[in-house]
Amino acid sequence: MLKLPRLRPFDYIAAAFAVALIAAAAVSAYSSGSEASRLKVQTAGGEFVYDLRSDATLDFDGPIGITRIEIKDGTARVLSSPCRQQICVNSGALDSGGDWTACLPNRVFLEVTGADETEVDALSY
Amino acid sequence: MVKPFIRDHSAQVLLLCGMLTMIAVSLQSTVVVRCAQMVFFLIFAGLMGRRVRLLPPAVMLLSVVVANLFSPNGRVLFSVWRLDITYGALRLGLMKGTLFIGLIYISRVSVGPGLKFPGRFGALLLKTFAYFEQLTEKWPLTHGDVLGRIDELLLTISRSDAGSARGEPRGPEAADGRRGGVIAAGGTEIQPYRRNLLAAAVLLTAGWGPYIASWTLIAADGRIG
Amino acid sequence: MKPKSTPSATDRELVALLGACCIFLALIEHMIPKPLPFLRLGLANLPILIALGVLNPRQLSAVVLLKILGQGLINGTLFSYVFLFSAAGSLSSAVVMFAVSRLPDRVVSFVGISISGGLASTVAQLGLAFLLVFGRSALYIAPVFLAVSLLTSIALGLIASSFCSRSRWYSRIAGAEGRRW
Repeated sequence: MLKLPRLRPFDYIAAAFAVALIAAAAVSAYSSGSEASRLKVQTAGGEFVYDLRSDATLDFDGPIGITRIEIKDGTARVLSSPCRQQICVNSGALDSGGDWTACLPNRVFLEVTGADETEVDALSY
Repeated sequence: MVKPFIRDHSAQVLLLCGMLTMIAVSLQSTVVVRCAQMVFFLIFAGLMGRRVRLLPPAVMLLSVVVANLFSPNGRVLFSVWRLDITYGALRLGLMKGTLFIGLIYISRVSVGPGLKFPGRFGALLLKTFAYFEQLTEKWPLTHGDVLGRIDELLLTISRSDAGSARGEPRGPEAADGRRGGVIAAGGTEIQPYRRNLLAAAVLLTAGWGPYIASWTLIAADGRIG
Repeated sequence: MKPKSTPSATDRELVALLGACCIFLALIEHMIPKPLPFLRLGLANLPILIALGVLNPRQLSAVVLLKILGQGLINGTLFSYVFLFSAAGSLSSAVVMFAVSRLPDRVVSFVGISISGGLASTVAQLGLAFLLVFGRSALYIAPVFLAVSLLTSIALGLIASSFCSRSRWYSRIAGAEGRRW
């Protein structure tokens, strides 16, 4: 029924471009790789999880005050803490899986979990 | 006179109120209210005789919620097979999904019978709908293969000069007729313009009502405190 | 491009007819069950594809506008998110298809035009889905949508080309110098 047309150069270019785009999209979607992606925060009030890719400033209540955490450009750090030692603030930015810091007096524990662990779920979606 | 004007333009009034309602719903930040509004608009669209299907919106809502769960945000409510379900992600997914579906059904209600568009483009639109009527009317032609039949159909229609020669173009309401139901209240039919205005009022109330209620509560609170 | 003298009454009729075809095909497509929302054949783009050879940019944009509005009216989704998606898809694909269709005949056929348009539409809609609804998860469905779009647009291109090469109606409106890809 269909009379097939003679295909011309740009038809092939467009098709090749489309295939390349599909491949690129597939690669970027399904191999988001090894970069760390989640911030886990354990506090006296419960467990919290955040996506490290979306920037945010978060406050957590602890026994001695508020611990303020900043997520920026895929890294997380403690901005301010009510504790005396300020170990958590001085430990700087956490950016790869397994990095952690804690403010023991305020019972706030931060940990970055690697994408390799958690992205399994996204793959099976 | 105001009353005849509104009577003649009830479809436009409904459309305008529908748009105002959409603004209210999109600004609504309480997730429970947003969900209730979505359910309400779905039911209301059904009552107004608009086409309502349950499965596609349910699939849509579910996929939006699930998609958003993969970006955890906030307190962990529970975990399903190593995926942490967080309050923030659940809320965000529900907010986006319910808005999506809510807007679809508000718009289904707001595009009512009798809607006209003014000006030269309006005339073109009416002409288009006249052609559309012809296409739907003469569609099942039995002659040749599919492409040949379409060709035949287009030849017939453009020969008959549909837009100008074939009487009054009936406009969108013609296309709308197949889903133009009538609300029966107490067994009697309500006139189309009343139905449009009633729908407009219901939409506005459902959209803006929660705000007004909460403002009133806040104001009352302020007086007591 | 076919030089047109003045926008005559027949041209306006043609715009309305092509717009009506878009809406009609949108209705047909609406009745075909689809496995997932958003996965569509894009039948309503056929008249646009065919119109590329006969209408000037102004008339073409009128047809596109009619298609977008008519679809919104038929599906009842005028002014909603869905409408935004369909408008963004239709507009971007029309612009890209128009640009590609200005290439010489020996360089491109309906198939290439259709693929470019389909890609533009899908990319625009995925962009909106990323911004408005799905967030980063839109990236996971992107390859599937792009692949489906490639297949459907190849099919549409073949249908358009086959139709225009033998349609008596098309040779009437396009005349001897009308383009056949």
